[in-house]
Parts: sequence; C-alpha cells; structure tokens
Amino acid sequence: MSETNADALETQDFILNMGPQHPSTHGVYRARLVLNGETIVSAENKIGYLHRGMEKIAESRTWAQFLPYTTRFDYVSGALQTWGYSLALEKLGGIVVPERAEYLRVIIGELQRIASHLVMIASIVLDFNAITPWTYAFNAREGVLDLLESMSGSRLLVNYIVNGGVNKDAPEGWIEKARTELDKILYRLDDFDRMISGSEIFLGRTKGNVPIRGEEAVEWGFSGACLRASGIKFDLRKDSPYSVYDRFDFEVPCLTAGDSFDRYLVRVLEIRESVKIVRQALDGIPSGEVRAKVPKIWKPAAGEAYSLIESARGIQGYHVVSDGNAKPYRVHMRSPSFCNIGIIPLKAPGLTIQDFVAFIASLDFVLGEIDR
Amino acid sequence: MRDIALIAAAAPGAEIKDGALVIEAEILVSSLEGIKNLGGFMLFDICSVDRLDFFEVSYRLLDMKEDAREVLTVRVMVAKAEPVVPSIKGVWCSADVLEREVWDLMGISFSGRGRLERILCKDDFIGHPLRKDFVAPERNRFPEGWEGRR
Repeated sequence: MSETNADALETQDFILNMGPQHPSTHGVYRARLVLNGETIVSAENKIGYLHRGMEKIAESRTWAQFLPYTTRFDYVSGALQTWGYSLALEKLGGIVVPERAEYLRVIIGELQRIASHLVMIASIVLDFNAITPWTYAFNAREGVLDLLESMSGSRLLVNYIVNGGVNKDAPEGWIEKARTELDKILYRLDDFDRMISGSEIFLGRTKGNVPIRGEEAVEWGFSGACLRASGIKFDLRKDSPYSVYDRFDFEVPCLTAGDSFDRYLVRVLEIRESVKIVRQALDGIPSGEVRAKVPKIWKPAAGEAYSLIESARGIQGYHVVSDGNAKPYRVHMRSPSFCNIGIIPLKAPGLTIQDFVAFIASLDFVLGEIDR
Repeated sequence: MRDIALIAAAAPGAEIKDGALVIEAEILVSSLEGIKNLGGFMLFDICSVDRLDFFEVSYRLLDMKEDAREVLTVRVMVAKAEPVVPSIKGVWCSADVLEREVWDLMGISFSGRGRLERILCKDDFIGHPLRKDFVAPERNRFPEGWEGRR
C-alpha cells in the first residue's frame, strides 16, 4: 500500500444543478453550477421550463383576446403587463384614453408595483431563513390585493387595464378605502424596515455581495431597480413619461454601491414613492368616462407600434405588428428579467452557494416573463 | 433626443427611414460600434419579424444621456434563403441572450460568436416556432423525418 499524501490526492470539480425545483430560485430557473468545494467555479443559466409559446399564441387570438394572456407573463405584477400591451395597441390604433382612466391606471399600476416589491423584500429575507418579516410584508400585500380584488375581481392576474381605458369604474367607497389602506401599508413597511434594514445578519449577508458598477449594468442591459441600485438614475416614469406620470411629484430613488443590499433597499424606497403617487392620484382623479369606444372586433390599420413602460422589474416593451386583420401579425415582448439574469454567469464564479442565493434573490426575476 | 442625422453620421452607410436607421447586414458591426462610441447607448432588445419575403431584425437602443432618453431603432433586412446576421455580442454584452432568443424562436443565425444554443425551447426541438411556415407536431412529439415547417 502506498502512503496517502493530502497534496497528491486528486480533486474533482463537482456539478450541482440548482433548480428547477429549488426554493431560492423563485420559480423554475436552473443554475448549472460547477463547484470546487463550496466555491462556484462557473455557472450557466438554464431557462425555458415555463416556455408556453405566448408570442405564437398571440397570432391565433384577436387583439383583445390576447390581453388576459399578458398577465401570465409576469404573474407577480399582472396589471402592469396589461398596461404595456394596451399602450402598444393604443399607439397602433391612435386611441385616446379618457383622463379618468389614465388616473385609475396609475393607481392600479402603482398598487401592483407595491405588491410586487413587497413580494421581493419578503422573499429575499425568507431565503435567509427569516420567516417572521415575511409575514409582515405579506400582511401589507394582502391589503393591496384586497384593493385590487374589489376593483377588478381578481387578486393576482388583474385584468383591469384594457385597450382604450380600464374595465370599469371604481366601486363606491373604494377611494376612501384605498386611502386608509395606504396608511396601513406604510405602518407595516416601517415595522419591516426596522426589523430588517438594520439587521446585522441581513447586512452581513447582503452588504458588498456582488457589486455591479453602473457601466457594467448598462452594458448588460439592466433596467429597473437593479439599474438604479448601481447609480444610474433611470426611470421611464420620470425620464420619458407615459400616461399622466408627468403630473405627479415623486422622487426616483437611486443608490450607488450596486450590491445586493442596495438592490433590496431601492425597492423599499420605491414602495414609499409609489404610495406618494397613489395618494396624489386619489386626490386629483377627475370624473368622466373610463373607456374609449373600441369595437369588439377591432381591426387596426397595417403598421407597427412599440411601447415601453416601467414595470416592477424594469423596462417592459411590447412590439406589435398589424397586417390589418383582427389578429396580431406578430407580438414581441421585451422582458426585463430576461436581460437582468444575463449577468449571472459572469458574476457567479468565486461566490459561495449562500452568497449566490443572496445574489439571485436580489435580482428579483420572475420566470413567467423570462420564459414567456 | 439626439438628432438622428448625427447618429447616422457615426454609422457610415446607414439610411434613415421612418425614424429608424436601416443598415446593411455586412456593415452592421462597424456601424453599431460607431454608434456605441458616441456614448450612452444601451442595447435592450432585439426583435425579429417574419415578413414572408424576408426577415426584419430590429435592434432597440436606449439613449441613456440625461434629458434625451429615447429609443433608437436600427433595422436590418435579412434574406430568407440565407438568414445570417453578424453577431454584435462583442459590442454589447446584452446581445448574447437576445441573439440566442432570436435564433431559437425565429431561426436567424448569428455569425462570429461560436455555436448558437437554443434558450427557450428544449435542445431537441425541431423548427423555429415564430416563423410563419412553422408546423407543430401533434402531442409535442417529433416523428422521424419531421422538418418543422410547411
């Protein structure tokens, strides 16, 4: 028998498939990790598990029939998806949306953004095994979902914003209810903030975790809160305002470190700004019609339109092409998460698995819109 | 927005049509490099349309300069017989996944970037679903000799 020598032992890289069923990938995302001990040597994104061929399905539905499908792209912020698609159709057909509908859109859109960000801040701490804060954030989100439900009839896949305006007017007493609910959200958020944002364990796990510089973020097509955490103050609501966003007074939160903590904190700050916008919209909402007249079988002239909105995850684009028929010729969707996760293979080497979990949680991607 | 004529000057050979820049596929990389060198542009989307006679590939660039945040579209027309466009992965890193998506769903190939892998459809998928002549097999199984198109 030969003598065993620790230096002479051969070591081998170990391949770990993290996902598609894994609690911290938040959906059916798979990272193929090559590990040396606990350190990642290389990583590869494996996506497509939720690919439903939505863009192809669109070609066999009428323009209006495809609307409910869009909420299934990003199922955490469904109302914003219908907004993006409706905006593209309105550009295509030259439809003018009534003023009251624009305000209702802003209110529902911002409530949906609050709900989406609450899911993100709740799930990032849940990934660190902190369960109590999660209940606080979901408690606040429950109030938002109740508002969305009484307005639209559904809690998650909110089919409220339609081509030409919104589905129906707010029910009686809804606006007062929304005002009290906003106070409750802020109250719950303060609790959450006190518990988490200064917590030593949370800071230890996220501060300095995968810092992304501004130039790098632009190079990789980042958008949304991830971009603003890297020091680039870019928000379509402010920089190229659509709908009636130019009438509201709000700040665009922007941080500079670009690490996982900043990506978390930007969202907490954004919730507060969204509450501000909703309050102003509730105060200034005019009366009148809520939907422009659009025929049931709508045939826009041949042409194309491209709409951009700031969704909860970043720049949401819809490219619609019409050939003059009642069905779309082509619908393409630009998904923010799809570009945001492109940087993972570059940044993962050198991280341990627990840091990797913190990193992907801070990117806050939704597989429904990555895979389409 | 920055004047589109000024941007076109940075990309020799570009033609302005319907508010977009139309560029020949051969000079795409050098033109986009010229535009990138102007500074402040982010590539955030590549979308493709099957126009029956040809493919149209649109590169969407976002002007990140303060007070000028608009979308610039750069178009390339690709022949159906040989759908190949030079890759711009070396110009913008974000092009990597976007080009793979176009290849997977529309079947437009990108040269000069190594092997293109499918990204959304499974690896043994046959055909490119967003093409207008795509035919899907029944029950999602590909019989022998299946081509994936009409």
